[in-house]
Amino acid sequence: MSIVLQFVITGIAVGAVYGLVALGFVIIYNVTGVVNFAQGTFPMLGGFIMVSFAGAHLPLPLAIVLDALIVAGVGLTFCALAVLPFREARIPPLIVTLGLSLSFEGIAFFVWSFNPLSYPPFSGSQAMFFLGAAVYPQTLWVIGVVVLLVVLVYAFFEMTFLGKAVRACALNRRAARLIGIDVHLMAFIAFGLSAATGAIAGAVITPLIPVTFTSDVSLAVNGFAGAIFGGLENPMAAVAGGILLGVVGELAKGYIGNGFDIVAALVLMLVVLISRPQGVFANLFTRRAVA
Amino acid sequence: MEALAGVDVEVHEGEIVTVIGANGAGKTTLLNAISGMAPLAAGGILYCGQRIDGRPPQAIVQAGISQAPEGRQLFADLSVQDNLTLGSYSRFVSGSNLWTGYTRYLRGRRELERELEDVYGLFPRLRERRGQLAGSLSGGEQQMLAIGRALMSRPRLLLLDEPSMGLAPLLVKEILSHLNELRSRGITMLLVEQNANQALKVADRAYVLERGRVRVHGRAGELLANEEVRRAYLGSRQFSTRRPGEVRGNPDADGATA
Repeated sequence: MSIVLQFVITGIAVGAVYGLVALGFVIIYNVTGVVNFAQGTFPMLGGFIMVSFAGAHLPLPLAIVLDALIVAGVGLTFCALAVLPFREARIPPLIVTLGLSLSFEGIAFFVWSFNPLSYPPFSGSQAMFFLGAAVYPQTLWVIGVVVLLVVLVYAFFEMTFLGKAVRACALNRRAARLIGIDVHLMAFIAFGLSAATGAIAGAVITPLIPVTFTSDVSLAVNGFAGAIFGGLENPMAAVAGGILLGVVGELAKGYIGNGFDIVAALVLMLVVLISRPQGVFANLFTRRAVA
Repeated sequence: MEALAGVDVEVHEGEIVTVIGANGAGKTTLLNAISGMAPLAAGGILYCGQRIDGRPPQAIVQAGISQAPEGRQLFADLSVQDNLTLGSYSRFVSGSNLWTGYTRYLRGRRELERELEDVYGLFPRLRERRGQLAGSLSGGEQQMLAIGRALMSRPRLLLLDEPSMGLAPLLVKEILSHLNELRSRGITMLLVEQNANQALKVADRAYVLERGRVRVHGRAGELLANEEVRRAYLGSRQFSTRRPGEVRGNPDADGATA
């Protein structure tokens, strides 16, 4: 029993990060109509940059903020490269985002090489025991930070004028333009926001799961599968989907074998796609006009 | 595809001008051209002595022209009040300067409240439903909201695209009756309508658009009495089976730009 609980707890922490990646997919998709397959790049970069900052002995809060800002800049660049040039073109921006994610794997390989990298946990590695399962303080940090970010993102979209303008753009792009909302600016905000939150998630999970230049693959696959749970459009369903995938993935790894977490994610994604194709295929393959 | 060909429409300050015509005559294209949503192939748009064609939609709204578009185009998952508030977006944010926009928004909040009250005063039904999602409103209420949202940018010229669409005759009368009140507040209006009868009754002057060209224009009262216009667009009794939409309709023209 305690071993199952162990997998579940680890799964929730990992899944919380997937949930944030999923949330990033949904935000960008809703606002721009683009499925950003480079979504896993943000937490990967977030993890690497944090390792470097920790090596340079930067204070933790400053390091996280700087990390988020740098990766947000990368997100803005992605938006400029993958969304804006394709307003009229027939090539789906999706291909461009795939290319970007591969390029950044290459860049990460050159900068940080191929060894998994990590840095010390925020507040020690003294495990607490909960019903026989070990809970590391970093696990709680991950869950806490993700909950905080989800609440902040939610508040941004529900309670601020700018957040509502971004949503307006997602709800009705034409009407948004008519009342003077610059839809490109909203696309940049969407990319910046999902890059920054992804980076922070990647930064806090790295002490638990070391980052490598291919980390983005499992993050993107699990995040995308999580987003599919929300039909790619529902942000909170996407977060929940991500957490579920994290738990299922850890159980698959624990009981079947290493590497089976991605298999589990893909199987779950297939199940959702087959059982609920209307909310998923329809939205994925009818590209919405990109601004 | 050319939806408009050499259309010459003039609106003077303080007027209500209507453009009537069948579905596909190019009415929506005309409004979209003014709003900066559709590029012009030739010609220009003069507003207060300045060329405004080629400017982005935001600049047009900031210049004082707003539109209540065809089919309402509300933000269905946002509340009535949020829809209205967003109508004032371009007063705060210029281009991509979010920081200035934010400080302007903080300073302009009280004024914003007052303008919301103005719209609620005009359409009390919207006040009752301020917290409801826009998508849950009835057709008439949605139209009021679309007009209210357009008013929140403090326009001098209001473009109304088919406000009567899909509404019961009584509601159409109610909505159009508000236009005179708007005029008394100093708003000039360009009203595009398929419901020619009602439109001609509220307007001062009218243009009849047919396949992208102005067919007839003149004082609304004159057009209302014009036999040809009556036959084609007002559905006189003996011709009531001949619906303008079927005979003259070019369903692609509006669709191409919508």
